[in-house]
Amino acid sequence: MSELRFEDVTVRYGRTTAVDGVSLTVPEGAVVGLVGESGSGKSTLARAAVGLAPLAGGRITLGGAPVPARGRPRPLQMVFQDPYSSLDPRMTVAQSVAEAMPPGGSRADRRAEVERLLELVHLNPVCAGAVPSRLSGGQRQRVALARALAARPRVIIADEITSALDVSVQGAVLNLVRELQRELGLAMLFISHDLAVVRYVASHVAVMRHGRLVEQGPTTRVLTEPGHDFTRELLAAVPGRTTRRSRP
Amino acid sequence: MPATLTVPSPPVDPARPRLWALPSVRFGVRRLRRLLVSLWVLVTASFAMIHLIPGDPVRGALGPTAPADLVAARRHALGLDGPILVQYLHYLKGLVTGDLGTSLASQLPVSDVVAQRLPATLILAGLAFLTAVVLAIPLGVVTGVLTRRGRGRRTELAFTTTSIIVATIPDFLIGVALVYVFAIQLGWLPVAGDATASAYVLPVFSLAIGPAAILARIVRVEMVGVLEADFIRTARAKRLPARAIYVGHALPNAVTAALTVGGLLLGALVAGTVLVENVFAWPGLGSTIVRSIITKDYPVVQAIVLVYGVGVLIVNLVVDVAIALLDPRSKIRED
Repeated sequence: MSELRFEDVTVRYGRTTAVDGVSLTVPEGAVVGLVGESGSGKSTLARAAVGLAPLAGGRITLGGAPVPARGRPRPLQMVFQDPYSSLDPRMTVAQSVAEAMPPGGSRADRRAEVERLLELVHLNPVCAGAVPSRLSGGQRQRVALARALAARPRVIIADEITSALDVSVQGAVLNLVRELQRELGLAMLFISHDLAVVRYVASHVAVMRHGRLVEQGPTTRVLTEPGHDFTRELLAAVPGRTTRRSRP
Repeated sequence: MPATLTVPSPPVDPARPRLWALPSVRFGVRRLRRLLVSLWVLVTASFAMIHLIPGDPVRGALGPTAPADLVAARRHALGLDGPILVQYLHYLKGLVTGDLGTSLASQLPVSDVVAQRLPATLILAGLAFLTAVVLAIPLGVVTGVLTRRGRGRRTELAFTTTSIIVATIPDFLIGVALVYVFAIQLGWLPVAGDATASAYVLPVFSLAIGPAAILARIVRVEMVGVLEADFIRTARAKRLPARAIYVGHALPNAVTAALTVGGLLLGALVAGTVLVENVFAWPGLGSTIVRSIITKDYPVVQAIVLVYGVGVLIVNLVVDVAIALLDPRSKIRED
């Protein structure tokens, strides 16, 4: 049982309410897309889930229990937007990945596990000894994914993981995300401002605006028959989109 | 016209790069060249010193009542009566063969004076540097963690104010104050000399406290900067324990800049021994150079200036090499 559930979650920074009473469920093995403008509270909601933002109200549970704050296991992992800065520049790829792995096992076991994880994200295991500055943006984001997977999470939160990448690399990373999600049966909260990206990976979608959830449901339904004006605005803002029912 | 693409064949076998193409070799050669130029400037300046001093150094050393023929004989013995170029070449030859001249005051070879006094100064500077580092890094890390992201405003103010005050007090004044409190008032530690281990405490601390304050400030600023970095957020999101975040991720990224400043401080610290040694009557080069200046013993002054200069050059070289080795991203290796 690994359902990530946000119940009436509120996050405040001083007088600003960044997230205002959001209830959202990421069912086991499902990918839920979270869309909205910049500043709508998407990332804050994610940060609250991994303990980077304090809760002013509500609760966040994983499989019915609160998300563990410290120690192991670490069933909820997050991958960040900018692969150029989210990895420690002084740690090699192998060190970054191994750090998140559960303790125990011989040195050889751990090395084999790092190689397995790198292969899982389609990175050449030769990269293990490299520091991040030697890698491209796409490769670094693969390292970030491998690092998140190393903790054997049940749920992954992906916060705009493709928006810092070139379009051609975006596609490759998205394919990888879909493949990993299918193979490993992970649940995923996939945050993006790009509706095309969300439609590609997510079965369900939730729309946020001004810290509130304005609409949620199956992706096809929400994107083809939006129930809220703001969703329609977002859809109209997608470039190159002529009719509301066009397929990619 | 069809576009043609010609690929020039590499001039050498790419599997075996020429020695000169290796970045580390290029760095080493370039750095060595710079060292030699600095060394030449230093040697020439120390040679020029004796000629730039107003008046006649020999007359100054022997005093106004010395007979003229004695002054002339001493000038001849020191080689000061030849053409300046000949004197310069003679000086260089002396340096290469280890002959630094003869002390005017004691008639001993200058190289013996230096060899006798150098160890005490090296030990003092080395211990002071170690003490500064050992004090500064934990202090900088802890205040950095306490004042990260705009927290602990009062701690920050207290730390920055105290450290800047301490850093601006000259080390010999710190020495005098330490002697007054710990040697005279409390009587815990000896006033001067290097006879016992406890005699090392006050000179070492009076040299180390100023650099430690500066270094701690640098480490704090670097820590605060690193703790803002995205990879620290990643580490927090990973739910790593605090120790792993601060020691494992933040510290290694913060100390590289601290290392550069630390090296420069070590250079300054070597020079600082001159005054502190005089406060504590420390039997090193610093007290010797001051005494030699007073007695106008120019060959000794010249040699000690040279030793201090070479010391600073060596420190700078070691710091550059250490940075190049420790920081894979260092630009120092590039042109």
